[in-house]
Amino acid sequence: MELNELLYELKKKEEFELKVDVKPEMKLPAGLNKELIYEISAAKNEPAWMTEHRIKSFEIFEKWHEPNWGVERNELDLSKIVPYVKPNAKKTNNWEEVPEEIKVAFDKLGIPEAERKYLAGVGAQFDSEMIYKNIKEELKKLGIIFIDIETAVKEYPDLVKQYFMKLVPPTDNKYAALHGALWSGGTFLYVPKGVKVPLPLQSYFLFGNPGGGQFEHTVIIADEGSEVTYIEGCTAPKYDVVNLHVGTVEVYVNKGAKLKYLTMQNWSKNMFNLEIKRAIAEEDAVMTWVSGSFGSYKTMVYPATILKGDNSVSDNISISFAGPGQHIDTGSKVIHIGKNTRSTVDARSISIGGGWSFYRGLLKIGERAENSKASVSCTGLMIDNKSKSDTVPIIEVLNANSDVGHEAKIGRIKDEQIFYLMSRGLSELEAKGLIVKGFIQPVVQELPFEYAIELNRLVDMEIESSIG
Amino acid sequence: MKSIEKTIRLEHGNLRAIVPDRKTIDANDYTTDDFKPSGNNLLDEWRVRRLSEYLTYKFPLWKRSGLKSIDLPKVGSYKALESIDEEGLNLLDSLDFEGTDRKFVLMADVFSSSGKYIVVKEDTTLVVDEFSQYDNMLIDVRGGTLNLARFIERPFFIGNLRILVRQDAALNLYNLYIGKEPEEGMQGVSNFLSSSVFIQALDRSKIKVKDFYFGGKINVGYFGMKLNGEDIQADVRPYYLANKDNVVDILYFMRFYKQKSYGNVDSKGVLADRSKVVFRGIMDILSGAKEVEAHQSNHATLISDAAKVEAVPSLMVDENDVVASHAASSSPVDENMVFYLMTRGISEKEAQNAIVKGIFEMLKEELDAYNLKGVVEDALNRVVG
Repeated sequence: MELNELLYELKKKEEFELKVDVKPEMKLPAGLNKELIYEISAAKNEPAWMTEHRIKSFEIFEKWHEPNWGVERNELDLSKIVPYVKPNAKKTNNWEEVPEEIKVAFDKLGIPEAERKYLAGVGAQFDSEMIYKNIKEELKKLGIIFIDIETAVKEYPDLVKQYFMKLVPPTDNKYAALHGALWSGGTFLYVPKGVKVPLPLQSYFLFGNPGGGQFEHTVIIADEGSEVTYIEGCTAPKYDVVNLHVGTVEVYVNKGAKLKYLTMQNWSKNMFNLEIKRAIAEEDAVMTWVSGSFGSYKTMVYPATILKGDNSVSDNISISFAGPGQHIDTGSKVIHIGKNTRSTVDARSISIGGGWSFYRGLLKIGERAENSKASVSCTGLMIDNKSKSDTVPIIEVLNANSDVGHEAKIGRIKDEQIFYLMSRGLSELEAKGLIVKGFIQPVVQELPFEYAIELNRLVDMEIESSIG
Repeated sequence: MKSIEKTIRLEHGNLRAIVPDRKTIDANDYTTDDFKPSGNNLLDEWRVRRLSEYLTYKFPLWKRSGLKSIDLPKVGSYKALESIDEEGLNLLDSLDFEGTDRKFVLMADVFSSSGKYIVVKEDTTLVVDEFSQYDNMLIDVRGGTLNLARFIERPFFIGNLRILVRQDAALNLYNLYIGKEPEEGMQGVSNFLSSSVFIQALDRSKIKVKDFYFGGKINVGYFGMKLNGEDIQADVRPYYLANKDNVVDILYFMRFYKQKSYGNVDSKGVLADRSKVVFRGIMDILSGAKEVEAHQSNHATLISDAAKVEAVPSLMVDENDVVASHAASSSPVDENMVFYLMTRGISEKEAQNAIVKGIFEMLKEELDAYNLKGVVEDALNRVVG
């Protein structure tokens, strides 16, 4: 291991070594079979229709082949993944009731402090279950439902049946089927017609068991004319064995609604992060994905928007960071179906210390999507020449009345940029850090202020440990 | 060491990405009985090795261009590289590549009934317009400038062109791929063109290429460049014009091995009726290829509601001291340009046609020197009148 890589690992360890020592209430053995799935369902005391959904999904999983694209997954042995770890903590909306050892870990991540200061509501998931979910009283009175998805299955079965795994069905691919069988934890958020949520809602996912898999499911419905911002954060301590995250997000943006979905992913470097994120936008709706991908060993995630309604809009802003040993395969999908639909993609990546960032995107303008406009921009910043940066966008245009533009650039920080900043008194490291921060500015400016500071600090640390 | 220049390279250190499987179709294929000796034993040994590999592959299934079946013509007698010597065979081996599909590259190597082996030592101008159904051409540009124009007009064509452009040599290449309606004796044979060109360029060589694709139910082109030297200048301009149900499916690929080279692929074209273009571009810069500049673009103009464009412009970069970019766009004819021309007193249709013709103007002018300007004019007349 070279010195800068060693420094990087030490820094990461120092920063994110969460002292998580929580004995689970229940930990199923590794492996995948129907008996385990029945056990998960029983542990959650689920209705029969959900048990049936799990079993059907598992049967589909057994028939599906591995997707024949994306990151190599030879090291991912699904038979060695622990599918369900129930924390020894009851669900609560009172932070004081969260067990001390879990509270310490979340405290380090600043979750309760964030809730007090600038969030409308917070959810916290530890291993396979949401252990805390709270929303401000005044928002509850407006009819907003912000609960964990297990509770939604029991309290709002009709809503769940209407939306759960309808946008991402178990037949979508092998990992969607696996998710359908093993899902646990996650968020159910419903914003009623016309309600504009003034502050963001957030869920935070923390992983505390070696060899475990996290399969949380998120369903968000923004009803007509509503507006909401949702933030998702992910962290885990590093273990010597592979961990797996197969989260699934389904977002329904109804007529005239606006939804912004922010993700800050900082999984540890032993994590296979294979996520599925999909939104459908009805007439005049606006869907915005903002993604920061910093952690994990290997990632495959491509937030998708289906612009079904006329005049609907999708914006997709992302920054991915591939450091030593990381293979970050991210991108975006936008499918224009309605007329006069608009979309933008601004995908930025940073490759450093031998990391590999790969942009993979699909933009499709359907035959009926007349007068649509779309632009895709990919920019790769390579901090050194040990790293790799690739972009492979697929653009399909099936009508003649739309304007589509795409551009991509890959390059390094120019010497004259560093020289200019150094002539103003900055060190070389500070200059590079400043340029990188400027590069990720489009993502930073979408974040709440406190998060933006945190992200800048994270970038400083990554840069310092990779090239310092 | 003989090795095939793979088109896709999805690895970095210990990391790998999965290369999608090659999907195949079942179709009647040639057998060893279709092998016709050339009379050159060395060449035939080489061809037999290629045939052995050929027989291991099924035909490819291409979803984007719609190749779902293939009906082959009868094989004629071998005529292509029969005059080749050992040095030429070594050159052939050193220029091995995947092409539109490995199956089609091997097919042209084994069954070609037209083609040439040419060594160029001084400034040379060549126009080649006699092509059979399978063609194989090998050119060694040892010095001077080769000006080569190839006019391929066939209902069915599978061909290879391999060129080595040595130090300080230059190449100006024009390829006109015109798909023709099936002629007498060719009924039942697929209306299909597959052309594979592979060029290896050495230090300080200069290469200019203009390709033109028109017609044919499926007209497929692969153009690969291995820039295996320093200070190479490569400028490639693909043009396409498609109407009816034609599909033009083209891949332009440049791999930069060494420092300070410049590569540009600037593709443009016009789509009418229910036609479709699939443009794939790959600019691949290897680690150590410092100060390389690589650009790639595709601009499609659609003049029919039912026309379709698919573009996959890729950049693969392992070196940070480079400038690499790509751009792609698709749009109808520019309204402002049409309006401007209409204010000069011409109708909307005439204005549109003038703009479409303007896209090919530079190509036409350059082809005039080879008496091939009319090929592009005829194609334009058939599409926009």
